[in-house]
Amino acid sequence: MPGITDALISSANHLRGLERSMSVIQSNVANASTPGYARREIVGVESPSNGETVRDISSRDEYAEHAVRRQISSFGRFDQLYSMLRLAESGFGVGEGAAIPSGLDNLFNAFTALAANPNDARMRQVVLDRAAQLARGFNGAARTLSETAGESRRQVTAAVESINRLAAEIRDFNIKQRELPGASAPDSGLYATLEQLSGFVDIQMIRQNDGTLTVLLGGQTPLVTGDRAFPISANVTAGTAATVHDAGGADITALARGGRLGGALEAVNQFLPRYQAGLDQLAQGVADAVNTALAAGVDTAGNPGAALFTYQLPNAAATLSFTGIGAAQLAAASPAAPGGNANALALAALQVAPAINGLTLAGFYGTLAAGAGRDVAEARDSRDLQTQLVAQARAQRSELSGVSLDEEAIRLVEYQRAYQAAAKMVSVLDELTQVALNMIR
Amino acid sequence: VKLLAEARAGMERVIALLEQPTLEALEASERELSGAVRLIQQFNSNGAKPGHEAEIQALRKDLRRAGALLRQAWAFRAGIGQAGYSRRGELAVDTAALSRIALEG
Repeated sequence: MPGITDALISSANHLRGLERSMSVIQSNVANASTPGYARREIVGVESPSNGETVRDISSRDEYAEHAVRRQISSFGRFDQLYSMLRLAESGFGVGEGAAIPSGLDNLFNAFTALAANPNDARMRQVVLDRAAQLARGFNGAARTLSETAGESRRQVTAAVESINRLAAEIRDFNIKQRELPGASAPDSGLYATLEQLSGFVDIQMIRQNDGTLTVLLGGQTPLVTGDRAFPISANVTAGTAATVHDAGGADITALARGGRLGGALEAVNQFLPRYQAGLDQLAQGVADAVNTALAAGVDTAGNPGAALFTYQLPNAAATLSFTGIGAAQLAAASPAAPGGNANALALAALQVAPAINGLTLAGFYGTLAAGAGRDVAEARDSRDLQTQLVAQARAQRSELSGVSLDEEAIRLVEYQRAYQAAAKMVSVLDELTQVALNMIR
Repeated sequence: VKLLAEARAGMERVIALLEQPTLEALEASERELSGAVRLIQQFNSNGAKPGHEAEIQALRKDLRRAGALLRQAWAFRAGIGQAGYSRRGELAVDTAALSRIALEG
């Protein structure tokens, strides 16, 4: 008697649904004026085989999902940024044997040695060799930055491709949702897709009345609405800023702040150009200072000193090279005392002379390297913190699913008290550690 | 150094507690923080000596981390208490987001 059985099951489901609805409504009415209480809503889900069922949901769950996605997005950003900056930092060595600082030291030591023996051919050759070595050091650092920029651009492209692929998956869910409402209610798979998407870019998700999801990039640009996905694209032409565009071609780079896309864009558009500009400034500063000093002296034949370095703007570090002059052309003497060492002493004195922004050449390199090191350390710390914030958001989300919403609202007051006490302690501890630091300084 | 090490160990426990910020964990973290405060007070009263900068900076880093976890824990609690609903218990609508969709549509 399948007809009667089906009818009985349908009625039973309907009654259970009504009971549940009443319970939710009573809860909402009883707590309508309770500060902080989140009203639960009732959603009827049509099911062809089981009749109508009712389940209550709360946007608290969506809030928890959103909190997790937000932290994942920040984690993605800092993780990507850290990876890129760490690569870049490898071109800014500061330890013993690091190409640029040791190259500078070697060159100026060679000038000092030349001053002691201005007409010694071997000393002159050492200067030329050191100049070539320093130029190669700059070239290597510039190449590292260029390769890191290239890798960052590839990461931008890869992130855009992943975003488009994941957006298409959400669009497919929406299509199913419209074809058979309720049959493909958001499940863990869909939420996992949304989390993956958050890892690549900052997104906002809005659930529409028909059950479909609207996904916006940076709160404004639609990635998915209903049965349509809007693929974004990237322009990563070398030598220009990397940009991201929406399906209509509008530049949305400024909106793509979070996730791996945001991190890669930050690296290629902000950090790496800054490092490159500093390196170029230093290369130009070294070449100009040395060449100017040489031009003020005379070589062994009494001719005006020839340049030791050459470069091409705007890529001074990448193009810095030894001019290839001969040892005899090195201007160690001043025009007033040919054969002497006055100009070699002036060249050696460049090592301690303020050259760029009031800093010596080595001092300027030190600030560059320290800045890059600080950026890497900050990105790493932020990434590590985000790892914990993601874990915390996930823990809170799972805790929420088994908690009575009414109890949760009441406990909010207790949480506030405990939070304020802990926050006060953090503040006191911060002051105390500052006092300890001040004692040492 | 021992006091600093103990304070940092306390901070590590605070961070671990705040990763699962139940009300009980939040209260326990406050007790741990109070303990760390006492240790740093003791350290300061002994007079900080040069050479401890790295440990103190590491402690400050842990503090920043604990602070961030604490802020998010509270923001989460406050958020879920209000998410999507008006004070009168009516479903709140994100008008800004919807108007943007309307423009795109």
